[in-house]
Amino acid sequence: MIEIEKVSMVFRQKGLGKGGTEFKALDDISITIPDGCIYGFLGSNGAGKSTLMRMMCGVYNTDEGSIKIDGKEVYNDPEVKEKIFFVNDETVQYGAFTLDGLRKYYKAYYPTFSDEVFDRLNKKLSLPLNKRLSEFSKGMKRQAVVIIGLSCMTQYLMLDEAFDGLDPAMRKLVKNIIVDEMIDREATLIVSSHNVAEINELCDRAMLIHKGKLLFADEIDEIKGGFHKVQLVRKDVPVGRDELETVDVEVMQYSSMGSVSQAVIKGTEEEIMRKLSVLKTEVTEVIPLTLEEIFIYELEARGYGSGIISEDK
Amino acid sequence: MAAGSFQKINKAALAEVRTHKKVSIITYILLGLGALLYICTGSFSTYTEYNGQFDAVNFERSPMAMLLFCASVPIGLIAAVLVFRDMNSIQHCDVQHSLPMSSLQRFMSKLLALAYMHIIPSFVFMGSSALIMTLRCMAENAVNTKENAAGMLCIFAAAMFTDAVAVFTVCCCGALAESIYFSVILVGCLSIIPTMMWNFIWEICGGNVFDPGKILGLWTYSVVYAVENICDGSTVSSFTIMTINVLISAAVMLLSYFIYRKRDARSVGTPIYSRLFFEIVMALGVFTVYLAFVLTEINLSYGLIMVIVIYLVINIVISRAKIGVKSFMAWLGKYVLTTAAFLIFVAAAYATDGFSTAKYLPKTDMSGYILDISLEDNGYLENGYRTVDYSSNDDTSDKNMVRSDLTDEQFREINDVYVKYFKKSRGSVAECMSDLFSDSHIYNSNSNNYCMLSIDEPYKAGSYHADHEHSRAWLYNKSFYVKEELGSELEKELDSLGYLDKHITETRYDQNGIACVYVDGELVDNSDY
Repeated sequence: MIEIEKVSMVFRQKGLGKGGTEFKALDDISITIPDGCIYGFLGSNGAGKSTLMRMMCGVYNTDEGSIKIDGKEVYNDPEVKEKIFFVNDETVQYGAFTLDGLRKYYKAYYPTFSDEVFDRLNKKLSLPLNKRLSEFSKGMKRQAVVIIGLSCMTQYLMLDEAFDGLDPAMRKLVKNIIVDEMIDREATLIVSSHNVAEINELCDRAMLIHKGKLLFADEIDEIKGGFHKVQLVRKDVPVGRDELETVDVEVMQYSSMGSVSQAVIKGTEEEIMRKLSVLKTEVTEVIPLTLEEIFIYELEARGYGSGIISEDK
Repeated sequence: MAAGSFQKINKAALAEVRTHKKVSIITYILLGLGALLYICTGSFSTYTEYNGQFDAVNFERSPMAMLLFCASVPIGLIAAVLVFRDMNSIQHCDVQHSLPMSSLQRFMSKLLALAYMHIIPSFVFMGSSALIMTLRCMAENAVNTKENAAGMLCIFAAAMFTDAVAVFTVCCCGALAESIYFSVILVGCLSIIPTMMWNFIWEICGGNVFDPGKILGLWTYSVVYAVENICDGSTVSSFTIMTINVLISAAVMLLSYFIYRKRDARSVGTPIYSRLFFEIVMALGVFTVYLAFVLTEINLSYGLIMVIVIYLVINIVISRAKIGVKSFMAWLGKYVLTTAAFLIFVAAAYATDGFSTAKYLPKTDMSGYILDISLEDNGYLENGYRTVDYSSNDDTSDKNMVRSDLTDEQFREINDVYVKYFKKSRGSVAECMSDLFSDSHIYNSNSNNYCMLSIDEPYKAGSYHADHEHSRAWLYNKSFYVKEELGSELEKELDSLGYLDKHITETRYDQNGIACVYVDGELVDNSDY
């Protein structure tokens, strides 16, 4: 189990020493990732997903709070790190390696490295063993790193934008390989992606982070059950945002056209219906939201990309 | 536990070596070829020693072998930068810092990788070459065995020095470019600044430039020290100095861990991690350039311009295009401060007569050493010059030339007189400062009078220089220009000591350009000039 408790981290502007300006990359983040789950990290660009992932595998130290894996602080602890494999969002660092060279490299570090898994997975993906990774396509490099990551047989696999560059067919194949392997060995997979649909499809839990702050973290079904789009029809005067807020619902987004009002409201279907029942409307309809819609509305409610979203509408 | 940890470090080091095997291959080729040439093409030659008294055998090193050995030295910089790539590339940092190792294990694995790639092959190839050469020299009774072995140790020390500076710099820098060019700057500055500083102090107090002192070789680019040390010829001291040099390099490499462990990925990509490191290197660089101008007697105004250009360029490069008026003014402020610090250093050195080194005498007991003081007055004669020589012994015959009756007290008394007039002859600190920015020089003068004190060491019978039984060897000298009015005062004061032999030599040129040399009024030479 990974326990992230009240983690904060400050970045300083790259310059000389400590004199530069600072910005808070992570602010008081607390989540728990149970064993054996597939956890999705969602967030806007620069939200802090990669930073958090790097902290979870000991690349960054925390300024405040703690990150514990199976009860032990991860930073600078080789024993804990043996349980983690991190695939970052770049592959240039592997350019000088062949796949076989990469296998030898990681075998030196991970005592649990399995040649059997490596051979089996490479057979499925048919990557050349003795060709430099710099000569691979972006997708092939990704596949190579995923093979290595799975072959290290760690308890936790962290993939930062790991499916970038893969074509749809290969994306599906790689995802299936990862999920099968991880489920088979009851390992935990942590994935970050901008592709919300992918997280929705792949993960059983997710969290949303924006500007370093945690917006929510839960099981995906719970998340989806916590946001609803409501359509209200009232002939004489449409239901206004103020009116909705008087019945104590949290309105994330509101629009109206003629007699029809539409709002995205936080809460379960039952809770929303109960609260809205006091309003006199001809029609009150609650529609479930997809994870992608929740992502957009949550961020829009915080002013992120609101201009673009409203233009689209 | 410890064995398991070493195994892990070793495995990681070997993985690093495999990753950068090209660098290892180049190092092995250079060193292997060098060793082969050194062993196979090194030859022996015989020459006749002084006065034809005995034949000496010399081992002649292959210049190409030495060149190859030297070429392998800078490979250490490349190896260190590549091995410590996690310090300046976030992608490499992601990979390496997430691996199951503590920062100590990771650091040690990198040092071990560097050892496998550069230090161990240098030691093995150079060491085996030196060993084989020594055995051959012993068989042939060669006289320069120690010199050759010391030379080899010198190149190994240079390799270690390069590696140490590169490791230290890489730990202090967060970008690849800075890691490389700051290593080069630091290697250069650390190597030449002690020598320059020493020479400057000696020059400013009238000492001789070729007396750098052993301390200069303690941690420097050993080749620089070796060049300086040629004049000394002491190979035994070279061994000690070079061994200390190697040990300090090893210590610097290990101590760099205390910087390495403080760094997480946040500092990766930041051109300079340690502001203190940056300021020290910049100050060293500024001092090096200024000292070069002073020692080469070039107007320091050009130095100021050159340094400000370098200073601003480096700051602009490091700030990565984030330049504001405030930062620009801060750079200018630092430049002014560093320049002021240099000028204060010069003024202090001048005011204190080279931090009191003007009084320096090379031995704690000077009794028995041969002293000569020469006062040259070029303005005394219209058609020539006059030299007054004071020496510790009047007998100039070959046999007794080595003898000196001066006691240590007398030696120091003469030295005090010398220093007194040295001080009197010099201008004020303000004049010295003004001279820095003109074409005249702070330790030269337009005076026609010149005073030189030199000390010789008598060779003892039965030494290596046995054939020089009746000779002496130069040990030390210092000199200064005497203001005209002080020249005769100095002469009178030296006369008054009463235990120095005095000879006046006058060289007069006649209208045909023929020099007539009179010693104590008697014509001793009449030759065409």
